[in-house]
Amino acid sequence: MCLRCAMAYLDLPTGDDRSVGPSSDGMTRRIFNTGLLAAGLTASSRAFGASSETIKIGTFGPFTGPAAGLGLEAKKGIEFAVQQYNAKGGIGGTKIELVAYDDRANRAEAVSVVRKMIESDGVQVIVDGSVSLTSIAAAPVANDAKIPMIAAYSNAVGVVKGEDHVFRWASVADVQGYVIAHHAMRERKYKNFALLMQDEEYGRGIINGAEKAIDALKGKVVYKKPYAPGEREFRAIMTEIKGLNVDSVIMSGFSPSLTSAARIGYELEIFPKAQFYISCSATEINWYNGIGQYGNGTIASLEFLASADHPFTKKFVADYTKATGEKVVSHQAGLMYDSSRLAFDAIQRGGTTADGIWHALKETKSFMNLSGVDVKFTELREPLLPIALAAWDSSSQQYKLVKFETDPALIDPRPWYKYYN
Amino acid sequence: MISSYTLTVLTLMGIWSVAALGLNVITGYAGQFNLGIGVYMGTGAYATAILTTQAGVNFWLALPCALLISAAMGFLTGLPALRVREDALAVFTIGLVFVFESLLIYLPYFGGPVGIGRIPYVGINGSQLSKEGYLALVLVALGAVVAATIYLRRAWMGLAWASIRENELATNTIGIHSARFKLYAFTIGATFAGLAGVLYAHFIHYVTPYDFGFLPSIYILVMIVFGGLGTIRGAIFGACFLTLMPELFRFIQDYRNLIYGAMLVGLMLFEPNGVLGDESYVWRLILSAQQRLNEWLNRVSKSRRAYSISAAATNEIRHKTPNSIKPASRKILETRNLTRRFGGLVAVNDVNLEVFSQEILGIIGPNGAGKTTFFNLLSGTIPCTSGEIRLNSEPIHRLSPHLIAQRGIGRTFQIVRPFSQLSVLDNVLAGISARYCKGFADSLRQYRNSSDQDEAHLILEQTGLLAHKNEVSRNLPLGLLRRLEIARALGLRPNLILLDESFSGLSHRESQSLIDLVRMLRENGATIMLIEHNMQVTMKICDRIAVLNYGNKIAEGMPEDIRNHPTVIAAYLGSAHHA
Amino acid sequence: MMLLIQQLINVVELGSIYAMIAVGLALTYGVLRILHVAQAGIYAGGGYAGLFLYETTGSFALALIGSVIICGMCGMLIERFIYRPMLPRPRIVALIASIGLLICFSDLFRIIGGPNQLSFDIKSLNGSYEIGKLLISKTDAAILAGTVVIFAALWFVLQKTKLGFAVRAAAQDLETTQLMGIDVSRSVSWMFFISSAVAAFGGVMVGVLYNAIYPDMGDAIAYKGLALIVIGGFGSLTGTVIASFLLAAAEVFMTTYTSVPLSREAIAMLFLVLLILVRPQGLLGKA
Repeated sequence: MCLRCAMAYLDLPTGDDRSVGPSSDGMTRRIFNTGLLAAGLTASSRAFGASSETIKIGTFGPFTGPAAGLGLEAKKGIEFAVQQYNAKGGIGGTKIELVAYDDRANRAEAVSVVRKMIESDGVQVIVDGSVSLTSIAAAPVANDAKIPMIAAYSNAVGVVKGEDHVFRWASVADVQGYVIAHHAMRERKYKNFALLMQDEEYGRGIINGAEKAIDALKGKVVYKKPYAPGEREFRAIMTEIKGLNVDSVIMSGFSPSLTSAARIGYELEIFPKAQFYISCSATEINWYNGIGQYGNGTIASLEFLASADHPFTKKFVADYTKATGEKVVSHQAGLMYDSSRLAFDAIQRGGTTADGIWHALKETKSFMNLSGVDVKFTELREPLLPIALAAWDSSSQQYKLVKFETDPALIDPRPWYKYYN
Repeated sequence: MISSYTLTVLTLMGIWSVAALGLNVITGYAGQFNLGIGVYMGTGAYATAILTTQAGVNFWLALPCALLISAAMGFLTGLPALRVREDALAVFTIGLVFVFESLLIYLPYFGGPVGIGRIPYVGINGSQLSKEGYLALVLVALGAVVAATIYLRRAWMGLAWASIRENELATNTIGIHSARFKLYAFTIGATFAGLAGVLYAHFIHYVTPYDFGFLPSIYILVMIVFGGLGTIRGAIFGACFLTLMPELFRFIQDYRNLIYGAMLVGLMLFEPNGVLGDESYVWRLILSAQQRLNEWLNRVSKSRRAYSISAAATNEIRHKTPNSIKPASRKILETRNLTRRFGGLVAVNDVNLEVFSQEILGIIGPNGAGKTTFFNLLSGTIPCTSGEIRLNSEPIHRLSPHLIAQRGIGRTFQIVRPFSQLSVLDNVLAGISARYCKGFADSLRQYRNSSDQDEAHLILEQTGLLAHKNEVSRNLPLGLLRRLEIARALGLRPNLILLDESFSGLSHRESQSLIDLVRMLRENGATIMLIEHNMQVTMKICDRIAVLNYGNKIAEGMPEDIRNHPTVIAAYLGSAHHA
Repeated sequence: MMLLIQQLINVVELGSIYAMIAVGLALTYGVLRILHVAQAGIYAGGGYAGLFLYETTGSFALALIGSVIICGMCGMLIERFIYRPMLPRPRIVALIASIGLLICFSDLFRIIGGPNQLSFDIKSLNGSYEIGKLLISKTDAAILAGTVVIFAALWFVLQKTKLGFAVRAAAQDLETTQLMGIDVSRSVSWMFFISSAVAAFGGVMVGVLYNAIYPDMGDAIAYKGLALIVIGGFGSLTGTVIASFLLAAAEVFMTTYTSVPLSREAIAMLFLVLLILVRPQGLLGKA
């Protein structure tokens, strides 16, 4: 079965003929032998249906290359969702067939694979498991083909803006910074802030949100420093911050940077004297693997909370860890799981055609996420996602809820659109 | 009906081919390592992105502007790149691409890390180009770039690039300003890459700084090395194959990078010339098949006529050679107090020497006497510390080597420096090319079918290399290589030829025929200076001899005088004692 | 003042890490004229091997020594079976092979160890020493001590042993050294062992420092290493070490006193591009 799938990919004869490609010896043979293993992995999910009624769902993301950590987690999220629904007999009897392609976080490749899954595979809906910059390039392709696409964890506004068929299940980055700064000043009464900004759209957005709130509530930014994505060396910056006696440090960025900064900050004894706030990448695997004994009390702004006290959440976490063997539900896996469910829900309501799914998605008024919160949708094809502020507990190695921020005045993504063109 | 997925892959193959051909000019033809081609591709892409989105310019106007900007970028980054070569240049270009990427991220106007989106579709007469139409546009662009590349390769400029690639020092001594041609290569290569960038931008409709960073640059370099460095077919094959490969291997997509890396290592181990490179297994197979086909065709039709030089051309060329500058014994070269120091060591000390036209002047001396340094000073490959050199009473010691060569001083090297990958004929044509390589427009003229072919053949005939004209010079024995260097120098129509130990390592028979050649050159009007260790040859051939020892001229005179000169004998005996 | 001293300590710290990679690159470049980009793979490999050995044996010392030896031997194998056959070829051949090798390495590590970073937490190296108002973490201290030991050993090997003589001679003139009857290929082999071992040591220590071992951990430092050997003056070890510390200083003070968020590779490369404009032969290179 797997061999057939592999052959079908290459348009090679799948019968019982002995020869594989032009030469069946040496290199080709070996590539094919290794290939079969891998084909088994990627194609197994494709192999479900093919019998009765199935619907094809596409996903893409960086499964290899430097960003593979994100894409593979996203893939786990959607694979688990597919497995869960198919085990229950599919969506109203229709089995789901997943088509997953690697884009290596490369824009040109993302464009190719999205076209491929639309035309060669005939997917009816795409759940995008890739990073923002790749999604931005892929979104117009799906939009032009009128295939609805849901971006799971792309915070960049450019993904959905102006693309009628593109939806998203993530917040605008600025919202997180806005919520963090409000919490710090209203509830903790902090006045002096140091801001560490990862210098790309996601990181800039969070710090922009925080600055707007600090401005409005008459706080003071004592120190602000941008850093390049991927940075792990925060010694010099933290040494500087140490001399400033700030109340709180707000940092945006991806998990390797957050983790390294937290470690060095605790080592230099800046934290927990000052409160450390970090952005949603805090639930990426790298944080869990890298933080070690440090980081206790660090507050993260999260788009869902796996430790939430809702029966749905508890069941999901139990099932997910059992099915995948993972100890934690990562940021990408969680958002991807919710996005997939949103897609399935739309299929349930709108039928198995792209057009039906699109109409159903457009008509979605609210949808319950995995933390058990009913999330409202805006006319901008994205949710009013509540932000969970959660503190890291280093003894249990998980985040504990501090506050669910559901105030529409704070979590509405729409006011932030003006910062993006 | 082709699916748009296939169209996407085909279009990308075309775009990468254009980029690869751009790098091929810089690295394949001119031999300049460049690991930062992304800079030029990115320049083109960002130029068109900004022009068409922010300035609202039409694509067809933005395109030439973007190409000009890319060319300017190539020129500007080429200037500092002239200061370094080989590995340092490679690392320098890596530096450029990193700096370029961070500038795009950091400077305003470039959209920061998210880049620039909504780059418009290309339209013709107001109607948007379909995907098939865009592929056609890319193919037209590719065709244009291929045509331009073929044209350049067959122009004097292409020959100059090949010479620089094979041996930059020797290139300067045949009168070609290597720095200028390296700049041309950077500029033209950058223009091609910029074109690829423009096509990419209007295809993906989105550009980010990371699209043109270090790794994409490396991928383009890998394409041309994979296909065969310095060949058009190689660049296109490499680009197409390596664009297609990830798609072909999609069924084992988790292992694609591993396969890619392993393939590179394997290819470099077992087929370092690239799949379709000139020396590669596959290409040799194709060539031999072609040859067999030709033989068969020849047998069927009439055999081709061998190249022959017309009598009129011969006369005209003979007329041009310095034969006419008689009478003899006119002073053509003079050094006054010529000195060169290397740190504390004085390699050439206060040497005064006069050279008269049509004489054969030998420079002899023990090892380390400063003979080669003296030649290097005369040909300008190293500058003198003090003193002066006058050619036909004009000072030339401040001139760079190519200008000295253009004034009629040709030279050979002690350790031969032929353009190894070029044919014997092309080596000689390279020698001739100096006269066309003074200006940009002249250097664009084609060299294949010109009257210069006649001159080259005449030189080959004179130097006895005609039978070998199509051989790759790397395969020649030393004796013929020494002749080849002389033949190459003759392309300059030199007044003065410097022969640096041209006789060493030759058999008796080879020496004898070289002596005949040298004498014939003199008969034709050239003046010859030669460094020689073989006393027999020196005494036999030279009209006069100057002796250097520890950088000083210790004697000068007729061969028989030198033979009996007490200081000379002492110097040689002394050195023999030391040795 | 305290800030300045603390930052200077940070400079020394970073500089030592850079020097460990760059010296290996400079050594291999000096003799074979190969830009050994795959050194970055060895560096990451050192981290993975160290982590694996630490988890199986539980002893950090054993892990460190084991990783250094394994990677040293890997380096020897790479030289013997990949670079040596390529020496007569144009230089770009070895460079491309080296890039291919690096791609292979990072992908192999991703397949074996997963795409995310792995924890390399040595409990005995947690915490810091307090000297007056200064804080020096134990990991930092270990790295500094290790660097001093390694460079002392390197100096001894290069200056006082036959191997060192052969390597230095080969760096001057490969052919003459061969003619002198020195077994150059064996010396080159050992030199690859040494430079890979130093890189592996760096990989382990940096892995512990950031508590992170990940597939492409060597990439950034590889590009930076290339820049450093050019800045130092191709093949000059002293120049390379000086360049490493200068670069570390540039990075630390650039992040302290400016708000230009250049990535660290970009800072190194900017440094390189500017230097080449003034001094194309590098800091200690000969014109």
